Amino acid sequence: MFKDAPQAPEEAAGQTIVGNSVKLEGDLILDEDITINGKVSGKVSTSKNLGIGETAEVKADVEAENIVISGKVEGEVKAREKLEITETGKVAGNISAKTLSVAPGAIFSGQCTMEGEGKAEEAKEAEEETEE
Amino acid sequence: MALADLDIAGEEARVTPIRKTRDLVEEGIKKGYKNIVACGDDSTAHEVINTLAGLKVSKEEICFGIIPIRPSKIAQVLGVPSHEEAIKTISKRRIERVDLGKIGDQYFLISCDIETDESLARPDSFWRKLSFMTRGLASAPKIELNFKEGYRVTAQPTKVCICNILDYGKGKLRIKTDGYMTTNVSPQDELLDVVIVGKLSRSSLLRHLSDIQCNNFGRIPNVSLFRTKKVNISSENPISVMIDRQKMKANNFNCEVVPRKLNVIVGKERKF
Repeated sequence: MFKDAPQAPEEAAGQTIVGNSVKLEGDLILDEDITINGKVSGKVSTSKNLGIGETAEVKADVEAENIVISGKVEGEVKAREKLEITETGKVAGNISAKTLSVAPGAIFSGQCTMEGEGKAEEAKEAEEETEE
Repeated sequence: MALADLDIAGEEARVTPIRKTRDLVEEGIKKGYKNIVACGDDSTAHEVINTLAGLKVSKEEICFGIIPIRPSKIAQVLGVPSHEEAIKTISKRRIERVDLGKIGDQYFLISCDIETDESLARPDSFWRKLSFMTRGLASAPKIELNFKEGYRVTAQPTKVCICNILDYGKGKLRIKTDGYMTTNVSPQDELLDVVIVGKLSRSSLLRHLSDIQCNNFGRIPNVSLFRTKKVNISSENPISVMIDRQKMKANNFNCEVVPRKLNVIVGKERKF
């Protein structure tokens, strides 16, 4: 799932996996890779990678370094590096990432912010003001 | 080979109807012995560990060792596969300080297994297997796990295993998801690994019956994994809990890690 993610080690120091017959409610805030195949509501945040599988139904704001979505997500999605929505992914909510990949067949409704774009415009305006 | 052959002196104390394991261990500590070696099986080891863990005195120097007389999972995870190996291991006295799990007032070294169906614990007869096959786990109770980290998990699991040490491999827990994921299970990370085997179809259940019994999670589908310092487990119906092979039943209990609780004498074949 994270084949393009930078340096995803084969053996992670820690993993959390939410299986497909499990329901989780609350704040899942961790410092390890998270894989969700079940139902989650609340908040999901990790400093590492997040994978949302085909059978997953997530009603939560999610945040991670790299995110791959193949299931349903309702909520804000924030990837500090890369966000990938695969052909079976469905996202209803605002998304933000430095790098975005949306596969044909994916469904997305919301606003999209590419983090690098805003900063580039600000730097250009600051340069123009200096020249003046 | 005997301990005396390796110049290891000590006092031998046997359990009798009057003097139980706990009494012998407490007596040994009072006399100033630093190494308490259980000679027996998992049941004996479990009692010694619980006595040592429950001591109110400072136990920085006290170590637990085991000489297995019968097959013992605790001996295996500590790298002591046989009686002969145990004697050499004790003479070398390599010590590791490990976490213990605690459920209710019982400590455990390896794991605590919650089985939602009695048949899973011992489907060793043909008729029980047949009944299991036709009945399946339709009646598996709903279990709620409230984790200290701030989230609640609800499931109708086939089995829940709370691991401190993995009793196979070298602490590498393999889980089947989209492919496989491997994670470290260590009795020195101040965490417990909670593995939940979700509800399985009858055919899947039968196919993976021995894997479920042996906690061989890498071959079972629909598995969840959480890491925690403390979890409260509750269910409407009483559920069976196996703690290092000792059994108890409860509706509601807390399970937590007790960090760096016990010094153990280990061999090079230990599972962590």
